[in-house]
Amino acid sequence: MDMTVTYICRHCEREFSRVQLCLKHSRSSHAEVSPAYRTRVLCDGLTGPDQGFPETLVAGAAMGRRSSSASADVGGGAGGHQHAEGGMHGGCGRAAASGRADAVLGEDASRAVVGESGLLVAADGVPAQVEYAPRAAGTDNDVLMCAASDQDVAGGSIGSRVRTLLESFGDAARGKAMHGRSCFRSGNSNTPFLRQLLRDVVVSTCTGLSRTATADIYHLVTSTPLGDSVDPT
Amino acid sequence: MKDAFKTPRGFVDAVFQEWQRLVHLAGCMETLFTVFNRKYLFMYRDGLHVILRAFCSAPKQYLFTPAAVGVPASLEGPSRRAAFELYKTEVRRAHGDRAFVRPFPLYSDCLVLPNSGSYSAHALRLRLDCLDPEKPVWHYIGAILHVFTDLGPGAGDKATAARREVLQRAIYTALRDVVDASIDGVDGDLGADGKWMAFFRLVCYS
Repeated sequence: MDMTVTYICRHCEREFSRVQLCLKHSRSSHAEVSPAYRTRVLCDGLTGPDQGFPETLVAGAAMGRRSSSASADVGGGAGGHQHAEGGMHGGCGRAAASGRADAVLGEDASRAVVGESGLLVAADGVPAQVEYAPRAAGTDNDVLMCAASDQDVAGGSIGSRVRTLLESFGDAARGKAMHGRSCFRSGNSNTPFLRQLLRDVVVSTCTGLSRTATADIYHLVTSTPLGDSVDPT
Repeated sequence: MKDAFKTPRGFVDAVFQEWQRLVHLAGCMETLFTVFNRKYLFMYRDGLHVILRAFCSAPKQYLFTPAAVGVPASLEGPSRRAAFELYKTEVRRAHGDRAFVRPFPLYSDCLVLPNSGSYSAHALRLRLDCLDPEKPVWHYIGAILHVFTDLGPGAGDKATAARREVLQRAIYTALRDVVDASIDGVDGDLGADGKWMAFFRLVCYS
């Protein structure tokens, strides 16, 4: 029976189809976590590194790229059963053997290569700490209602491969808030009348008006005498 | 007003600051798509955040629980029931009676957002079918930039491919967390009704 291998971020339980994407996610989304714990990945579906070599082993060897630094202060206190050599191997040998080179990886993800010590190393030089959670024989994918029934030869559903492709663009990782820091400052509009005036101007004009046009509104409002119904307090 | 804003510049800055505050409250994000060496700005809101906020703050919700009564016929359409009966059964079997499936349609039609001269975008919006059908509310979750056709041979095909890629990446970026919520569910606190686990499913895109 074909089995889907997923890599789960230990910090947010987010699933990825490839270990490089998981490492990239950890580096971008959990930057506040200490590098010693950032690269913890749960491999769901493999019994251990002896079941297959990480896909980056093949890719890294082909590219001849080597990471210069494999931090030695990594790996303390990891839960679960890690590999005897430090639990730092990861990946899907079946995926590598079947030639899933069509999946486009991000620049940072492709930098996850094999270090001098032969360990899987993330882009920032931290070895990945992969735990393995093998499934019992005959059990189906434990992800409810998400896997397509037709599994391809590479071991991933069509949905997961599409998601991997879209994830590799890194659009969401590049996303940032539209507002600037000035929105947290208190302004001068501290009366109900001024707040309502500002809100009306913003809602009615949005950003369609230039600063000159907005300044014209100021002149128009200040030159117009207030009616009796308006309470300037 | 003159006491608060001594100069027109102060008023202009205050308006811009108020606009940024509203943008912050709406949770607007922006990212940049690079397609065929051209950059397209995509402004969006987290779809899951929008859905949850609208759902939890709605005055009337229909959870389609086994004990639900008074559900409008327009919400209990035959096609919707047929499509989700299996999902509903599966979700409740795995997560209990406090889990439910919540469908939502997504639209991005020819509606063009106001063009201020520099941008022209198509709105990406969704609707929650579980809320009051008497007061349907559209939630805008993104503005997909219009991809114009360049001049030259093959420009039409290239623009078509660029439009498709921009659209797919825009939908995925806006609904990235909804995809997870449709699989793993998301907890929602409805106050007096307690906590529920919702599974949001996209049923229609047009």
